[in-house]
Amino acid sequence: MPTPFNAALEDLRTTRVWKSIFRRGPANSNRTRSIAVFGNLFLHWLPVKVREKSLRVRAAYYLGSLSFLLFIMLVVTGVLLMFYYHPAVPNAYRDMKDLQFVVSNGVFLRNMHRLGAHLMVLLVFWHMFHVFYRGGYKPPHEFNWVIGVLLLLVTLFLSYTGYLLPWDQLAFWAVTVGTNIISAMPVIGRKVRFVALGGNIVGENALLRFYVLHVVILPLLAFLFIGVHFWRVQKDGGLTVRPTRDEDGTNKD
Amino acid sequence: MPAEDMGKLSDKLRLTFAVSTVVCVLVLAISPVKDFRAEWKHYKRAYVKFAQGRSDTKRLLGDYTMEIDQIWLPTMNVTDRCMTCHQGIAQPSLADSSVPQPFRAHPSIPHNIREWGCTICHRGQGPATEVAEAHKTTLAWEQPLLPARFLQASCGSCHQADIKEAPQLARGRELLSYLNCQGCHRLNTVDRSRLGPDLSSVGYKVSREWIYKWLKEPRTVLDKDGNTTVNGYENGDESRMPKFRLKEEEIRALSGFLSVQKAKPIEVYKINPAVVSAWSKNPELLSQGELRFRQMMCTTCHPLAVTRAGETKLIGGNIGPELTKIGSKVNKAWLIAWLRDPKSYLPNTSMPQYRWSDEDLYKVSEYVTSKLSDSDLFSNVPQLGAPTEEEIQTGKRLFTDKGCSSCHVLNGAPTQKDFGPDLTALGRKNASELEFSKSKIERNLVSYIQAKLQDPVSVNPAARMPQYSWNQEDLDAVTTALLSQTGPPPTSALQHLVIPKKETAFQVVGAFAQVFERYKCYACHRFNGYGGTLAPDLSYEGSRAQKKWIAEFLKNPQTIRPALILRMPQFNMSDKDAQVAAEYLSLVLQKPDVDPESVDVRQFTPAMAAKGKQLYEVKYECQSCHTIGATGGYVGPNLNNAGNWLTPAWIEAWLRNPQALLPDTLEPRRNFTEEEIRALTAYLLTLRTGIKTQSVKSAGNLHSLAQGAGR
Amino acid sequence: MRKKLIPAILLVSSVPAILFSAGCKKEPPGNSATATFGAYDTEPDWNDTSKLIKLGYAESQGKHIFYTYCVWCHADATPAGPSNRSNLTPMPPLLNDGDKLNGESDEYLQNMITLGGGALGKSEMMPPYGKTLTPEEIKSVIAFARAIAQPPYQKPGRPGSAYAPK
Repeated sequence: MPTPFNAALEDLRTTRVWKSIFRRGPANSNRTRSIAVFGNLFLHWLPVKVREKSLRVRAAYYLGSLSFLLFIMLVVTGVLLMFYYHPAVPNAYRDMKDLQFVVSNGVFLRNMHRLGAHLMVLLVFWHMFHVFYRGGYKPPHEFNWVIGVLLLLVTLFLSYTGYLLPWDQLAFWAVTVGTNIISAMPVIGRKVRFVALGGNIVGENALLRFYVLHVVILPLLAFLFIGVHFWRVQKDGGLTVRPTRDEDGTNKD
Repeated sequence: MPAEDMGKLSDKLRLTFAVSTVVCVLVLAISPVKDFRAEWKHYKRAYVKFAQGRSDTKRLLGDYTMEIDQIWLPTMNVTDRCMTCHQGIAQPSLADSSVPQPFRAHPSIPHNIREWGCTICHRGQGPATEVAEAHKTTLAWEQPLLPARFLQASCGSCHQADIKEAPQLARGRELLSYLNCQGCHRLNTVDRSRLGPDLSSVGYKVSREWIYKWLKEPRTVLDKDGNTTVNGYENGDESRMPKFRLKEEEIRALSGFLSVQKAKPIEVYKINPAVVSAWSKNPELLSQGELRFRQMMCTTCHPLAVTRAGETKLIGGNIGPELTKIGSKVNKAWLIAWLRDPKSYLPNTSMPQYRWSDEDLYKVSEYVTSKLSDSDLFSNVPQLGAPTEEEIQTGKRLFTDKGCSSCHVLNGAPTQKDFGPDLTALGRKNASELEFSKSKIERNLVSYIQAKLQDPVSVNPAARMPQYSWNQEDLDAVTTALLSQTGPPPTSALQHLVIPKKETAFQVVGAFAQVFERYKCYACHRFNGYGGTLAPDLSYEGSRAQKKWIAEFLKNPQTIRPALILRMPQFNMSDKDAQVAAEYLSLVLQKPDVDPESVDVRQFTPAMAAKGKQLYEVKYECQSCHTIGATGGYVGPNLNNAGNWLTPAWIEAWLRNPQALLPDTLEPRRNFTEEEIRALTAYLLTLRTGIKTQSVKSAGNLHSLAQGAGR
Repeated sequence: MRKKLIPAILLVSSVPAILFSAGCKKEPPGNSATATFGAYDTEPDWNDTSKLIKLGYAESQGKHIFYTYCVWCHADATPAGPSNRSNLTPMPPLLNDGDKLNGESDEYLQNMITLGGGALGKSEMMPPYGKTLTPEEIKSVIAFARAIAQPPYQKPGRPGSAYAPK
């Protein structure tokens, strides 16, 4: 016997407003359940059907998913941090101090972001090693592997550009050392350093440049590559588990 | 999986989700809970409780909110959140010491807290809202609170001239100048003092043995075993030359090198043989010599160790070197040449050029070289002959390597700059920028400075800085002065707040210039801000003293202030010199609104004088501080001869408002009526004595006064 | 599988444990307050010079004013040597004389210094300093006197308060 609440929900579902947003109707048949995934902007990157075996933790330890989850968390905390941060030279350090001392839950926000970043780098490396171990780079997955490596680079750059933003001694000298290493490249080294720093010294231009990279360019690239990465995983047959075949080639499950 | 089972969750999964959700929420809740229990909020709540227990609760909580309070002055780089916990800092009713910290009010100071914030004076991390972060050195902040003892260092960041509210800072700067730290280190706001003596001709002055002994232990009040008989430092007279850590060969080399420095030969003066023959056999020679030595008041500028009542003390001023064993130090020909004309040996000396009669010269030089000596002084110095060429070369190299040429001028040795590190920004250094080596002191700036001053080698085994010795008070003063060296101000607003020191110069020309330079008046007296502080400021002497009196005084200085030990020396000035000086002082050094001619002496009647006497003795009891004749107090000057000494205009102006004439005088300003002032002036003008030449008896009086003093 | 689980958990949890302990540094020592550091200035107890009395800011300002203006008559030892105190009849009290001064209120002492002894019925030899020193300066001298008083000075409180004289 449907409860009054369920009855009310049913009525809601018959309204025109509802129908204009959620078009598929209740997910009670295979068709509507499929539409629920591939007809959804956010979910259609994921496959409609997955093999049950691939949902086990031991399959890939959810490394890729966790990396993505951490990325989302970093984006959320990052945007919240952006409310309190000025990418200018005396303000940057002061704003970081203000986050520590004045902003409610500022310590939490900053630590989440920083620790999340460290954890994400760790997970991304682990994910890469695991994919390699399981042979997930072999055809037809070789393009996805390249995308993955690009994602690794984006992650590392995000980490490096973000490291400068507190503008403390640690940040300043890390960037000094890093950009000096860049300048050791033959022929183009000094020019590349100039582009990276927006000048010859690690100063306000460098801070602004790194901020834009960290907040706009690299996250956009990350989203782009993540999209392609997921798409390729789906199109190449789903997560990790190879279908088990009989001697005559038919799928077992 | 069959279609109907799709989307169903197993119980295990449900449980997993439930547990992880709860765990997530709990973990997420940590931050808001911690935020609620923030340290500053705790102090704010405590303040409310505290204020409710006081009688003026409403006023104390007038502008209270549960928010962070800050003083924000962006142009001055100030973001101070100290008031968040120190809620009562600006509440006058909480000024008592029974109020618990952090609620106690700030003691009243010349600067308004809201205009300046806290960290400009107290340092520390202004933006912090946690106790440890705000006050102490933490992982990310290395500028802790300045200990209260050295707080005056912050005054020095802006006040480059000395202020009366910061005497410890003034003393520290004075010491830095006196000990010539600027010779090796760059410093701001510290006067560059006279350097060590010019050593170009030192070979004529002292023996190699003496140089050896001096380099080993730069104090002259030593006995043959090298023990000090008087602790010069305790009496405020430490030798300005510090102790260098020199090895035996180095001392030999340096002493050899210096003993051959004979750039300019001294003019040997031959004392009139008749005088010599008259006095040399006289048994009174040395005692007469001692008498003249005392009468010429050499100890006004030079310290001397004397033994009285079984106790050895240092008496005298500290402008010149100590004379206790000077006879063993210098050779006699040099001494005579020096006494006659100091400038010929040291062009920029502070020693005045006395006028000597041959008799006096003979007596004093004999006394000095016989009595002010110690025959055992060099008994522990090894036999040093003439130096070898190798020793001289080594000595020459050592002279620059050890930093001697940072203080001593020497022909042929290049003047050194920056022998030691630049200290202009020492006050702002973080502990991580300092070299502690293996020392066991606390890792902070203040401990570092104190350790370095007391023993440079402890914090840097390769230090070239010599060894100084300090008493605690002077150590703290110098630490304060060094902590005030904070380098250029970080913002332009702070730059505008810096109050630079006014450089004073006093240019004299003409006949007086010669007298001025010959007798070095500025070594002790101040003229319009320029000069020494040992003796009274003469900037207004023309308004104060009568010209005739000045001339007489210069020829025969008398006791004016009985409580003071140091006296003006008697230079044997010629009448002409005294006249020139008196005229200059009277005419030029006047206070604009005290014209010595403005008050006519003839208007004062004996009746007024009698009234004045009654006021002096009965109504105001001035004799509590001033002496007339044999009775009275020691605090103010002797008024025996006030009629001849002071001008009437000065007396009147002085009685009206002493602080207008001499800002730091001890004389209290009273509420005299004009009539009373005139009566007192009349009385004082009747006090006249003839000026007597200094007799043996008067010298004895000074002796006894000095004995009671014990400086 | 369970057999492998526990060692796996232990292994995994040991890694962050090691990382944490490596990162944990003892907080660098700050400046601990020694006896003299804590106070703005100190003054040796006149009756026992080995003991140092701590002074706050106001008291130390009073100390400097005292040693400029008052020490000549209200102490037995002065920076210049002889004290004027023994010259005077009646002898002025020593500044640290608790027996004589503790009983007087702050207002009385303020008036005494400001208006002079004669105005308050005491010896005329105490001059008025009202026109020479500011009221703040006089207050600081009184604070200094209270700080060095022997026997020590007890601030009078409201009746019934913890500070009320017994």
